[in-house]
Amino acid sequence: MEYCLTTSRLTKTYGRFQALKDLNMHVPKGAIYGFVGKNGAGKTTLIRIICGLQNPTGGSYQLYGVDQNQKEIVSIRRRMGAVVETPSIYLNMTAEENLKEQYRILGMPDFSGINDLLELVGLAGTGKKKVKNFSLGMRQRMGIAISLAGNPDFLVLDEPVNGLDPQGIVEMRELILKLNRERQITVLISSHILDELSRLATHYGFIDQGTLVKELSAKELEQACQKSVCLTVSSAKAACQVLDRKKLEYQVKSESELEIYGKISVTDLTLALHEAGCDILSLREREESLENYYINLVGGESHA
Amino acid sequence: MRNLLAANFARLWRDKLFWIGMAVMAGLQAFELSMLYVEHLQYGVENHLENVLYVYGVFGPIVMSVFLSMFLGTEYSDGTLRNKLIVGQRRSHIYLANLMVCGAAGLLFSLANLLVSLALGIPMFGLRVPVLSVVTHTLCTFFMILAFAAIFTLIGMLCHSKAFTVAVSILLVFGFFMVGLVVKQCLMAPEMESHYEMSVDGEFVETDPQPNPKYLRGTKRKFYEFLDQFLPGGQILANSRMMEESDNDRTLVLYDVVWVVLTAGGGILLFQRKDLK
Repeated sequence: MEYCLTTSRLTKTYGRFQALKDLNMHVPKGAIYGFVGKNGAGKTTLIRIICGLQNPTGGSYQLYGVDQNQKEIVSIRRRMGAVVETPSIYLNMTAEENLKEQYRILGMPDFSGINDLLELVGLAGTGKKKVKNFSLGMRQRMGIAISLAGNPDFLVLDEPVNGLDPQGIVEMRELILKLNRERQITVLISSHILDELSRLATHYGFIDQGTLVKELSAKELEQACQKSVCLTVSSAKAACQVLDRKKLEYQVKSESELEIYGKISVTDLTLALHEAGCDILSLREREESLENYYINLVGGESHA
Repeated sequence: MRNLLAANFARLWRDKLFWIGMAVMAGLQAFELSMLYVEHLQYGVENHLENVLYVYGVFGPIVMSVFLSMFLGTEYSDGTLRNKLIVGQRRSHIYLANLMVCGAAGLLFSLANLLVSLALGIPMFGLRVPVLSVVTHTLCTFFMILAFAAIFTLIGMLCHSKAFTVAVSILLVFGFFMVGLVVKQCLMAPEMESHYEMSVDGEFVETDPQPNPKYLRGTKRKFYEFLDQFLPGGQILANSRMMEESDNDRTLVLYDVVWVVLTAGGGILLFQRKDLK
């Protein structure tokens, strides 16, 4: 798999406080990577480091396979755009003036793409209105417009829906999906609003106390979260034959344990297993939400 | 770095505070010249242009301390410094581009003041000193302005808080000025001093000159002379011709270059290591 970003034992300390501890992360190309963690888990620290705002204390990271210490990292960063915490925009300028300023920093030959960019983020009609008079949602979209000025193919968004109203959240979601699907931009989104992330992300990384505790695809997460029945039987082999016949999705956990996904008729299954000579020793129904999954992952006792 | 300079200058031209600073620098000189001219017309006082030609050496650092702190502080307060780093601009280039635009802004403030002096002052008072001397001294003062720009850039690039940057920069200018005055006064103490005593007939008689204990001698005097020329406060007094004629233009320029190199070098080193939010 090709990766936009990989980190290898990335560590960051502030005095005695260790914000990141040996963090290993892999953001696949083309993905919308949901970076999940509670406040203070280290999400923003990681983003600051990969954006070049801070230097890691230990470990390293690679952008498109180029190590942070290589000279080429400077040109590779041109393929990146980011909104870190708050949008980075001159409040005393209009949307267009802000974009012109960013175009100059990037050394773009002309300002021809500005109107399209404003159109894309829904700020085309702002005219001479100064950014300081924009709503929070407009500022967030302005920040994204700035980050898109260099036509990046990797976008980093730190808590992009924080403080937005429901309409703003929907607009932001649609914009991110549009950028990913139409422009093939890889997006790394940090958030602790799990419901919102679950509507976007194709991959997840769960961070807790500076360590990435789990990294998985949305499909794997869906599998882990979907309704299932945990079955303990006398023979898993016999049970598999029955489940295959019934075309049920399942996973063998051990010689006597299976997990069956989706909705099943317990009576039908019990009868079929009995006919195959397989005894059911125990049966347990399980359903997990993304929230439950996350809390189980990072240690429920601290969230009680 | 060319891109950064283009972006910085574009921001400078459209900064209202910059044009207010230009207007203040030009207005202050126009006001001062008008007052001197009125004084000349009403009381016949003989005023000379060269006495007020270099006052931008005093006003300049004060106006710069406010404007440059606001200009650089905006990058932190609006977070736009991040936009430069994220797209791969080198920290040293960002620092140098900011230093250059700050230096240019300082020189433009000085030019605004100087041009008003020349445009109004020459018709009002004429020019007694040779043009070459004016040019030489103007260049010397411009170097001092660049040294101040380098100091304010250092503060502006290393402090996160705009308000703190403004406060520190303003206090620093006045601090330098006060230290410069104290050092200058110490150096101006006469070597010998006489006292007046009352004689038996009730008349005041001047005593024989005695060595002045406040007069600085030897290494101490050399050290004070160095401080006077090296510290920007002493340079303000020397370059603005407020207290005496300066005949150390070359030394002052050399010290200004030292200030620029030291603050830029140290500033880049610290800025490279700085964790930004």
